[in-house]
Amino acid sequence: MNLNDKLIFLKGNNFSGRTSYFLNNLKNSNENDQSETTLIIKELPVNNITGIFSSVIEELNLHGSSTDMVLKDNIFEFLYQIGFDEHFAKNPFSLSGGEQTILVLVCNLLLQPKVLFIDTTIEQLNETWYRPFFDFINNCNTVFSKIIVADNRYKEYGIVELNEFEATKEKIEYDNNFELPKLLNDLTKNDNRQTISVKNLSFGYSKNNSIFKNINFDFEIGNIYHLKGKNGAGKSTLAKILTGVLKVPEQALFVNGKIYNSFKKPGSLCGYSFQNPDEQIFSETIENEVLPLIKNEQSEYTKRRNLYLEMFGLQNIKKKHPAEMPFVIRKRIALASTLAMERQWYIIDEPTLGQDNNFVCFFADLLHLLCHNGKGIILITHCKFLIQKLNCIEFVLKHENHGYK
Amino acid sequence: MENKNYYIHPFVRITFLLCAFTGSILCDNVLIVFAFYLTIIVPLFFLQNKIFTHLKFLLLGVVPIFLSFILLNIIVLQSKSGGWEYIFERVLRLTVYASIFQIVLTIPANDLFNTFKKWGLKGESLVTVISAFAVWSEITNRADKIVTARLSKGYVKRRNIFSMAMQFPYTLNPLIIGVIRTAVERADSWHNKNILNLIDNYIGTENKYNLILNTVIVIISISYLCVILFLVLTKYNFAL
Repeated sequence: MNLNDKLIFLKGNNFSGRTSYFLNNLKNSNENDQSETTLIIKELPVNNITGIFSSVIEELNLHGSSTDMVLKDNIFEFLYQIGFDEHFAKNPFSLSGGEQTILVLVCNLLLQPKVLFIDTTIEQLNETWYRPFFDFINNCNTVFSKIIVADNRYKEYGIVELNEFEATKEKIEYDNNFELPKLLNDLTKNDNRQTISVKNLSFGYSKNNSIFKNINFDFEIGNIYHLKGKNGAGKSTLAKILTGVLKVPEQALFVNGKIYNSFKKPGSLCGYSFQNPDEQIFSETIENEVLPLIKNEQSEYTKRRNLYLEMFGLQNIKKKHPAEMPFVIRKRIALASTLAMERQWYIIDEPTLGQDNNFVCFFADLLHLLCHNGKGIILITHCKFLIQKLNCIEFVLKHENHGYK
Repeated sequence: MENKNYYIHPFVRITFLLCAFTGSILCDNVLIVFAFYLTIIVPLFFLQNKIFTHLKFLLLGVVPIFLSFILLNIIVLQSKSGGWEYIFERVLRLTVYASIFQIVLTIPANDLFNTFKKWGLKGESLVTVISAFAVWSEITNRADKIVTARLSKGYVKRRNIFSMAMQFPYTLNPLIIGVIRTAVERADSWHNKNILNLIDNYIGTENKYNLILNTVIVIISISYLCVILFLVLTKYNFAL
């Protein structure tokens, strides 16, 4: 793969200053007409959707209203090639993170910006779309202007011959060094091993729309399961069933062989960390978010809170409001708060979003330790680096044929 | 789901609004207004597949107003400012006026752009109005995810109507923060993309409108207005 200078990947860990370096340089060099020439796609794709139209095709047509016809045809051809056309009639807000990302990317390409800066959003793309997207940019006959990508994952997709740029380090405001404390081992030990079994589970949101039909599986504690599947395969639905958000027929869910009604006790068996951290942050301080402050706290509880604050590099900023923090930190807060809940099982959706390899290594070690101490993990991720570091059991969800790989 | 066969043309909507609203205001006989509501407005809700939305409006909008009237006029003022007849007339008129607006503004999602553009909106006002229609689905989607997060964190110990209702204040904080964050980032993105220019260049999706249905609505609307005008001008006393 030959990449020319229209595509540049910024190297550097979180808080290395790569984004601010780019933005400052851009501001200085292009101060007068920055708004007309540069587009920036920030971490959460949902905030880059215009929110004006209720269908994907209208969103695309709006952005393509003044686009060069050749480029427009090329982009639509690319969308047909990757099978994105099946989402054209859907509401952009109902798409998954990866689908919203591809929508936002092509919408911005349709505007033919002089500079397009993509800030970690692209990590949400799955492997069947990530590489084809960059191949498309590279092979597209229409000349794109410069595309600058700040992404922690690009090397996982075989992009090696590229124009890398290393930003000069600025003062790091946040702690970006992680290690597993020894105390964690004692605090997370669990002898009550709960195996989840699902027998003949059928589920659908309506009579005509069945997501699961008579599926059977066992999730053994001490394992890390990598939950895979296309959009609509039921990953989120399964997570919601296990956490007790959705009701399933009795005698479908078992824990240690006994019928378990998760719907009656939501959140008691599994902790669930969402892809978008903003949906699960409720408190006004970080420490309260990680574990709520309660009256007459026992020392073990306080210890646990401090441990997770320390471990995720949040101790120095624990009194601050989570909403003030950058995306990377908000994601870490959400993960810390889920894990600090001390559940038997954890379902974690895209834990490494926006996180550098430094954090991924730490997180992989943490998951290993939790599993060793008798926890079970169900992971939904596109991060190959994390998967390589873990000894995962793949669990592939398909619409009609579910099963282990 | 909206039935594409029964899309109402933007100009027909405006005609219906002007004729039906003016006619209902001018008409001094509440029975004619009620008959118009039953024979024209309600079937239109059925055709648009929005009858449940209308029933929701009656339940959450009209019934509380009706009860407030009873409380004020019958219980507090002891019918001094008008009895049951007065209450029924006021509530019925309010229902009909609001229903006319509801039917006119219940626009299918993929006809919003065409409708407002044909109504003469452009630029910033067009973007604001369409966004106002689209924002509700985004807010409900976000609120649903927040409640799911609270359930999965175990903050709702027992699931019943009371405990679910108690979640409302807790959803406000993340909901408002999320909405503000999205608004700020989206405003930035709109500015960078020069959204007003894009909207001006956008042609919109071509929708086909049922000629028979639209012609019938126009004829009925104009006829209704004409009949009311005739009754008002001739001071015809219509009574059962």
